[in-house]
Amino acid sequence: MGFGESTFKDVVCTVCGCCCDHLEVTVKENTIVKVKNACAMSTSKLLNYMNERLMKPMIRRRGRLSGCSYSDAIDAAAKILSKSRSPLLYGWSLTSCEAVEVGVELAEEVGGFIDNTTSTCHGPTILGVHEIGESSSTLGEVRHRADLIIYWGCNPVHAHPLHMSRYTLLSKGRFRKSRSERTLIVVDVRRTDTAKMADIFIQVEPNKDYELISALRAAVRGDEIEQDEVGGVPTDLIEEVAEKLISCEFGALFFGLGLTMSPGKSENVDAALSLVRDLNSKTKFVITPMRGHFNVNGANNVMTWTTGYPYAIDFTRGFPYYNPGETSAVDLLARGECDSALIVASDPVSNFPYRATCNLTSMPLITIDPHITPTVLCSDVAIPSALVGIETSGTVYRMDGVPLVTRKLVEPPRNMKSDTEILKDILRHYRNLKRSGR
Amino acid sequence: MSALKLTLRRTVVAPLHLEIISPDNLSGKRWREIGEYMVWEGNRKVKLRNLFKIEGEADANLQDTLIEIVGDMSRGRRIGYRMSGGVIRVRGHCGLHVGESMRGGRIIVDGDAGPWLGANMAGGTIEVSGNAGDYVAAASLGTGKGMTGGSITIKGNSGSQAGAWMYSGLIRILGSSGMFPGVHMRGGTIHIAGECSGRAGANMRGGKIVVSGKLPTVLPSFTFEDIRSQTRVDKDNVEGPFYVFSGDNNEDGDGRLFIKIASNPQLKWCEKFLEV
Amino acid sequence: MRGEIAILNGTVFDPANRIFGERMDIFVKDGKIVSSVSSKAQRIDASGRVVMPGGVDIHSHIAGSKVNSGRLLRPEDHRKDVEAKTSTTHSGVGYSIPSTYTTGYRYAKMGYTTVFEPATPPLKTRHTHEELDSTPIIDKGCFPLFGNNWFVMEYLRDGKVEDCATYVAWMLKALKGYAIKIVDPGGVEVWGWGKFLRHLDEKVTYFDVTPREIVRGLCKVNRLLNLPHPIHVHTNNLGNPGNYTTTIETMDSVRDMAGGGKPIIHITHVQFTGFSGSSWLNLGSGAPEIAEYVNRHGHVSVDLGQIIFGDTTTMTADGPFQYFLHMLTDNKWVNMDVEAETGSGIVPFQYKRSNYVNAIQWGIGLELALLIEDPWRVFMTTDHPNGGPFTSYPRVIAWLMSRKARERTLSKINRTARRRLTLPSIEREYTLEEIATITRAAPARSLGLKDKGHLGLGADADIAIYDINPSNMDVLTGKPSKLRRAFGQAYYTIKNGEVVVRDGKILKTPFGRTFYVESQTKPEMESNLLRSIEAKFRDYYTVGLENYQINESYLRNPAKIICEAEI
Repeated sequence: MGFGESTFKDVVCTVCGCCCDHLEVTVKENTIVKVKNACAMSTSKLLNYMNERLMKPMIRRRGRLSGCSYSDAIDAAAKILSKSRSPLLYGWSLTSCEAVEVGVELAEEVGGFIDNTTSTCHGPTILGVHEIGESSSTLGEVRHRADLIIYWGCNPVHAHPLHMSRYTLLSKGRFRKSRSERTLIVVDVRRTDTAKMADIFIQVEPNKDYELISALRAAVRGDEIEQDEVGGVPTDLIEEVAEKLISCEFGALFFGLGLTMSPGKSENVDAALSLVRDLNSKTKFVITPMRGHFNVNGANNVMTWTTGYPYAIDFTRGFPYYNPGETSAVDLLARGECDSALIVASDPVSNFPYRATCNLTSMPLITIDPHITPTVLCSDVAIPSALVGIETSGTVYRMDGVPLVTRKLVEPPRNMKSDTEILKDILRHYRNLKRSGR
Repeated sequence: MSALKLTLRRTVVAPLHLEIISPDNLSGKRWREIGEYMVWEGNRKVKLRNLFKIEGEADANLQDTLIEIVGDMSRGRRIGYRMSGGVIRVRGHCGLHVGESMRGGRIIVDGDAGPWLGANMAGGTIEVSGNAGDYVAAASLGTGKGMTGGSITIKGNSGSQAGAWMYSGLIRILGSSGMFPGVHMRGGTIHIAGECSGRAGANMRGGKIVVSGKLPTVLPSFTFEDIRSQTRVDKDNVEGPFYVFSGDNNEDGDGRLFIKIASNPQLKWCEKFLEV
Repeated sequence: MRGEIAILNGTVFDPANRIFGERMDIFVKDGKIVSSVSSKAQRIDASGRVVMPGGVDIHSHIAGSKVNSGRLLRPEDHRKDVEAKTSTTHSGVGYSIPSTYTTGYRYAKMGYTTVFEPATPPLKTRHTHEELDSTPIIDKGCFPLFGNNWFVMEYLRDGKVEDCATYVAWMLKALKGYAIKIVDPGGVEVWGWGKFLRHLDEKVTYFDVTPREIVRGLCKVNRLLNLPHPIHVHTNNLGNPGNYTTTIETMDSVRDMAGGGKPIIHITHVQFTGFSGSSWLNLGSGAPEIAEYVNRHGHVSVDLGQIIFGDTTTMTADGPFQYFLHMLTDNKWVNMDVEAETGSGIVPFQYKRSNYVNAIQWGIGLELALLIEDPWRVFMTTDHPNGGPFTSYPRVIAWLMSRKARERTLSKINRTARRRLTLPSIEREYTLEEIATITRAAPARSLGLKDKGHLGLGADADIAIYDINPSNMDVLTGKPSKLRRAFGQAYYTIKNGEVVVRDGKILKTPFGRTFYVESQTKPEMESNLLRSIEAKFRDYYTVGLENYQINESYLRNPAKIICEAEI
């Protein structure tokens, strides 16, 4: 370590739902200069966090975004919300739990909708859990005990790069010390890089995951499957796989958007949850959704303990109401039922379907984000914020619900505040406006 | 039968909560009184007369109450919520949750209906001339218990998961249906006169689904039983012949799928299991 | 504003200070009970009303990972009980698993001012604290789980009790926890493999230690650390017919360590482990046997875990039991095993009057309360939400105080159960002082909270005033609905010297304190311990030691209780 450098150990990463906490980050003169133990995505984020930053608050005047003071931006934001009949507060998965808690308070105060990125990602998972439940465990249980691992409709080699080495196939546990003591099954519509590592790769026909899970459930039960193949997979292979599922000592199924976002959605997850539940009558089996963002689970948790519901919450009538498909962001926007939006740490303009995005960009739009994104560029008010886990600390929840505290490693750019502070300022100003009758 | 007529007089800009519009709430009331009722439009409460021109009168007798709604009700929620008698007619499209938890009476929709039509329905009838969205007669999230009575007829198409967690009652879809009709069904009958995009009867434990049009595949957890020449849907005989499957075995289910042979040549493989 | 309050002319029940229904004034200043106040004090007329210390709930699942998973599992539970926002309160949802704001408000409305979350998995205890800090008004704390902890089991297997004690002391400090909680010792580790453990002397696979050794070992640890509360134990075999014998065996397993005149083991929700019989068909009440044991042995305390007929949600760290309940009911099921430590499970459940087993269960809880003679060693709980929501406490109070209330319910329950229970023949009715004991004074004493559960000088000014006219008690016990109403809605609740509830309405929503314990061992003991576990930590856990610990600054209002260890 050189002069004027300091190294932080056990740093919590803020990219994907793995929330790896063994990073080593070296800081010199308020800049990150070296990163150890992190995956490529994380290293890239940590070394390039100053790229394309939104550096000052902006307001749209006469059709153009231009710089303004922080207090003007707060004032404009609060005024937009105070005039709004159905404001939408969306995002939340890339910020801290502390910020989300203020966000919920703000949504309740303004009588709006609050939704996080779950509604475009693992929302169907949660809908499945409402009906079936979930047999799960923390990632360490998998590391210690699992002799059978399944990745279904997800590609951790690219999306969760350290998942296998920290928690599953390549990890070292108390009872499974090496790769040779574990079996990997991958189910996907194409031979992904994760599939290439599998002991058994099952290539399922696109949009036939549901049928395949049904067949597996039947085979696990010992029922006869009358068809010769299901979803492009020969019934013999299905029965062979079912045998592996039953005879393992501890199985762990991880799944991603291959199930949640292909036709069937929540029913696909319902089936996977039911399969794992069924397997528990024969052996030990757990299932865990591969959460994408580093704090989408935190957003779910905060929203659940404060309102009872994990996302897509409607506060317009003064009490929490929840019905994804009705109260979720994309659906509200597609039906044109919102008249303003506050986006926090998210870029829906880049991700949402066309009609929703059209509507989103034709209403008063406020964005709080560290970076310049297409959503920022379409906004009427844009407020820069400090990066959680780099410039400000905050609590996050790993994909298995383990809470971790991210660190402040460097000072944010001058005068830049955290999401928590900005939201508190908006809330305070909104209340003042209401009190003075505006 | 006198009618109470509500004509939408302006654009609705936010979700509109209309559970107050039901014969149970409005029968015997004068239009002036009705106009003063407040409903939520987004986060503001508005008077009904602000939204609707209100004419006529709702009969004092619940069973004779007729409410007509004119205008685009696509943003409305819960018209006819928990009603137990009388008639509501929507002369156009209606929004979400129409007829939710209905116990009796009749709802007629001249246009399309949004999702959750007749959710948790316990009795009465609903007729939709156009299409219906997803979750027709479905159970509310997490309850595991959906429709327990009544009947719904959709002349057009329906979305997915019609009759989810159904216990009893009748759903008729004269057009085609999205996937997962009768998912987790325990009883009752669903008849799809047109096509079904797939996964009929997934997780069913009881009840009957009849598909007269094309159903591309049957789930592997169903067992082929027999061929039947016809079957009953409520009081009607529906002509087959049908392939009959039982399932969903994954749930130890004893439900039945009746799939019309003429529309489903791709299912001929099951005939090898016929007991000769 | 914690100014001065004068509560005048109330009938005070303060069993800890031997005040049993005396007409007296209580004075409050700066959050404490004082001997006098100035003329500027706010005056509350409590004449014709009962004044008690604020309620202390020693065991209620209100915060943390499994509670939140329960909320997530049951949107249908929330829909039936919704709270709209008011000018002083946040909106929320209720029934069996209320949201955090609603939890705090509802406790306060019943006159409760201190609540402990009784089971938090160490790895996720930060989550528990986040939720506790989102729960307004009440003071709180949490009990970390130790009974299936890998370090603990290995220390005890190797006979290293002092090392174990040092580890537990460090854990309580690191997690900001209050007491040693043990759930199904050894059984949850075995459930990590999907297996079950049944006997106290059965060895835990791979760990070579028995449940008995775990309980005894942690009891010794508790004594070495001088912790304020005894080990808090959810025994093995919960929910199995005949399990009352396991309860007695567990209580007896530490009898030789008794001493000091106070309980050294607390058996929680003992109703669930009070079944006699050998099957569901001949299930009976083991309450008489357990009560006899408790009456004859002062080293034990219990809390009831009373069931209420109706719909609720079961949630415990007893993963294997919850799986069994799922198989029995076919209800949806959540399971969450936590690496190297513990597990949990959640299953919705409905207790039915007509159901033989549920009716027996209902009887067991009440029999226990009525047959145990010493109200200082039996506390009122429903193991919220396992037996029923905490908002049903007034119902339980009415059953305890009014034989008529019991008879009314008895007349509606399964007939065969009624015949088999001892309950119908029990005449005892709890007095107000006994209720004040089992809902306030005794739990506070058991927890070692010296300034709570009583109204003596210097006590925290946590006070509840109820609309019960004590000169009318005969009328009230004859009209149990009035008792229920009075205890369901406090006339006044004062928390930390501030009026927070009046006439059942929330006026103010300050946040309470989080109590935690630091047992001070010799400094070199802790540094040696840290060196030895540091090496193993990342082998056992998927997080680093640094990230496992919770700083005091993380908590909104930490309140540390220091005790001196004997090591």
